[in-house]
Amino acid sequence: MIEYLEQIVVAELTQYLAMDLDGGFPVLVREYQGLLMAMAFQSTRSQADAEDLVATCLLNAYRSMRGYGPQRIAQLKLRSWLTTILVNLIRNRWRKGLTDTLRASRPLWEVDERIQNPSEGRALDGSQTSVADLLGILPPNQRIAVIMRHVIGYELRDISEALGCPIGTAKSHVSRGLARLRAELERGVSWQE
Amino acid sequence: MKSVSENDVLRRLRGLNLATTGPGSNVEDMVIHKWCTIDGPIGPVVVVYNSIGLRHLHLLQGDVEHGSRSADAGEFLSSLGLPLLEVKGPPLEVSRGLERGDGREISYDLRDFTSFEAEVWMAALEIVRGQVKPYSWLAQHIGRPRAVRAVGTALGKNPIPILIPCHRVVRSDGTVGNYAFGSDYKARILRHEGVVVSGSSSNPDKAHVTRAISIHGGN
Repeated sequence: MIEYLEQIVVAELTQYLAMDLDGGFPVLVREYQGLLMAMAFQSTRSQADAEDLVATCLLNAYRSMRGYGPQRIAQLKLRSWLTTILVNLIRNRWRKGLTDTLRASRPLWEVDERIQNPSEGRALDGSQTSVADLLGILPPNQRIAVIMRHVIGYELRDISEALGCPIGTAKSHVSRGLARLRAELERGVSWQE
Repeated sequence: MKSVSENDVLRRLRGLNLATTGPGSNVEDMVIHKWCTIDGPIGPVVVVYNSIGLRHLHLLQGDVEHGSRSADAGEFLSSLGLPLLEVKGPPLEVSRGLERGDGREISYDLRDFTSFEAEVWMAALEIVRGQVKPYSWLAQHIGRPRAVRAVGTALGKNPIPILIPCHRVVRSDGTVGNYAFGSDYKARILRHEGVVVSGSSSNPDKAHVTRAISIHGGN
């Protein structure tokens, strides 16, 4: 019975949130934290940073909804709305090149630096990690677009919404990012030989 | 040059998500904050915490009979803008800290604040029960001897009064100085902790600490 109720709740989560924000919010967190964590982790490669970003994203979402009123909440497309909030947080963090001052976590530029000096031979070893590290050389929008489309599996529509650009632009971010990754991987393979 | 096919790139990208699904995250416990009312040294307090640590403490005003106390609690909780869940009691370290007047063993979630503020508060934690220190001591202690006013401002923003004992920081002439909940409250807590405060405690300029373990002394 409880499971059945929970299913109804998930299907009509926005209605529930519109009626009772505090009652529905924990359900929202359970429903979307996995997806948001995957996105945040792939963008930061750090569990602690990812948790921090997703927690901030969900708190911002909660605060926004408190100011929205029931009708606006009922019309939210939660998946893409939450993803957009998260992507903005990720991009801001990249822009600042900083992580949280109170948490001793690995700054992103350390990841990037290694990739910028492939002669040290760390990034381009042809393993899974190398693709992960290579993502770091892509410009922010391409990086987000490739991660969203090909690592997590979002639709182009979601990407265009999250990046605030037309679908055509989102599509070109994805394909340029892919082409760059492919070129870098080829360079890496030849460098190894 | 060996070629890498697009499919190969896509396969590796998909593999990332499979290979790196990290250990279960505790985002839910970071986001949904727990709260409860418990007894503080001089009346009930509301505490709000998450899996990172204690985030807020509020000294409840008003009385039970007229419902003004629960109204105060409601107003405080609503002002936080946090998703909340009421629980029966706080973590053991919090109730123990309140009992002993010592917040050093508690973890705090201070991510909403600047590192300067957090530094001031962490330094204030070292002032033990029964002791008072001047603002200038705190400024010196964090290596910013000239930032006395900034230290005062940071203390005024303390989200966890009592446990982070900003009430133990007084003016260097011994008068109790200001407090977010009124200087009267500050004097009451200090008296409760065994500090002798004389003069009109409702006036931050008149109430005077006449005996404490140390005003200027110590490290």
